[in-house]
Amino acid sequence: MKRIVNIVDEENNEGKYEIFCSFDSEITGKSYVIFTEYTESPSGTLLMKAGSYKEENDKLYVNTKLTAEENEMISNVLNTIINQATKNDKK
Amino acid sequence: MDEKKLKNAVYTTYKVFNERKKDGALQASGALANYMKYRDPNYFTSTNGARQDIIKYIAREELAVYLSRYLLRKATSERPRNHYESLLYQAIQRKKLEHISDRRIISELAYSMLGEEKNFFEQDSDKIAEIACQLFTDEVAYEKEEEAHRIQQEAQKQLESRFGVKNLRINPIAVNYCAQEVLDGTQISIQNDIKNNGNLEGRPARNYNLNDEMFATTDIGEKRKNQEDSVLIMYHPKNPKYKMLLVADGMGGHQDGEKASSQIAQKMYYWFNKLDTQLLSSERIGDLSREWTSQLQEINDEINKMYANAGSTFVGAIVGEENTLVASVGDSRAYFLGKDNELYQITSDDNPAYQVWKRRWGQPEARLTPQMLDAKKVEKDLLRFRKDSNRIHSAIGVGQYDVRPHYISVPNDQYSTLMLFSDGVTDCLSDTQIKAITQRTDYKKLSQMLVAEAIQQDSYIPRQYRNDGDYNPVIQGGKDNATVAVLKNKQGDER
Repeated sequence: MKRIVNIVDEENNEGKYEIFCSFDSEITGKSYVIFTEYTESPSGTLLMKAGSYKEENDKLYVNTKLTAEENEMISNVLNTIINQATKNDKK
Repeated sequence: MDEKKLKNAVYTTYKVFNERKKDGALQASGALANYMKYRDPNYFTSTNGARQDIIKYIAREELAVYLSRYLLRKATSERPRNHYESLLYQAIQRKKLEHISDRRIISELAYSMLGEEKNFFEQDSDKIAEIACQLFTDEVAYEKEEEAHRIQQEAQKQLESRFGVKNLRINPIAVNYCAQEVLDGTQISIQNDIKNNGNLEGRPARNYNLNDEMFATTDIGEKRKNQEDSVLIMYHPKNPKYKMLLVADGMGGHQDGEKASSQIAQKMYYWFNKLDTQLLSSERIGDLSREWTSQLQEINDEINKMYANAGSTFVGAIVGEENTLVASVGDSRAYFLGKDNELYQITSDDNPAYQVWKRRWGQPEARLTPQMLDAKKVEKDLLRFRKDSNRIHSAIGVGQYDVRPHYISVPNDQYSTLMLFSDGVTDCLSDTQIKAITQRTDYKKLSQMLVAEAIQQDSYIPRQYRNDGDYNPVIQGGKDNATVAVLKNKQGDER
């Protein structure tokens, strides 16, 4: 998957976003993506969003309305990645 | 931004990151994003006012770590070449350090080494900044690749069993794997370590993709024991609209051929990184070719000094403001697919038979009848079957005193796809085959497809030439290392 992609949300808003990671879930059978807003000159804090997605014509159609279980799973994915990154940083 | 504020900003980011992660992953996201930006070398090299300050800060705080890792990689892969490398090499031998991960020891070593150099840190801060910037960019990119891979693997392991997470992909942050492997020397030696990597199923191919714009594939082939081809695709650090692609095909016994081609790729990487972007304007194309020749001459002299009979062919392209300048030495070729969807060979082979063919058919095609055009095509394709097709009269190194590259400049809006080849591909594929593959293949898979076809297909000479002693009746697919670099030029793409 590209680093910078056009994402269309559930309300049909389209914008450029930077992908942090993506994965598939065997439990829900869906694909998920975690992303932030994309800016040419980043500054300040960026909010990270997540949702399930389908890819069509180089665009990601993302649904950010997730169930509690899905939210928990995404939190766990992110936590695991952060923990791994931190572990490496402490070396 | 003054140093104190900067230092605070960096530490605050760390602090916020560390605090927020306790509160839940999504809340930590902003800090994580900042953290990743901090780790991103592109952030530091972007043209913002804080750049120099950041670099200077990093120079003092982190130079030793990055320098030491750089030296460690160098010292363990080749003989030490200077005072720093020699010191570190001795230290490594003494302490039997085998892994880069022992940061503390390595950092201490580097500090002590630098300390011996007359108060290194008191030297001109701009100079330190420049060194640090280069090392930082190289090392962070290298580290980031390893780190992302490791994090991905570890996280996947944990998440799969607990949450049924599959295919976790953490997006790499624009790392140029091709350049990294050229610089650390693994591109040419990696074929023994990897199996089933890349889309050439079951083959030890290396595939590279830079932002879905530049692509490269290199494969050892079926017969050779060494990978003597080197390939490099890269952007100019100051502006990504300027690009360079090159293929070098090593020649010479033992492993010297691969060293020669690798050396060309490495030196060209550093040269292009520092190349004055003013030379990339269309008015300065003459100056650019002179600079390029002078650099190739320098590399030629170095290779001649280091290796008795080793050398390499070379084909490279520099994409400038409005034109692409292509240089070639030997029989590595460049082609482009024009706006008219036709395939054109841009370069001339430094091969006697090719030169004869070119002299015979060099006139504009408009003057040729259809029969003559067919004959031209047939004769061109016969060249690769000639027994003397591997004889070239120009190369870099191999004891040659002078390097005389051929240059040709192509307007950027005249082509949609630019391709560079080692002869392992062009010996096995005719121009007609290259054209057909280029037209039918998605450009993202083009370099892989061309290499795969060159390895897998045998070519047979037309029946009437089968008993002619000047020709080989069959060219076996994969007889040589096969390498392709591709640039998808959106400016010239009207397809």
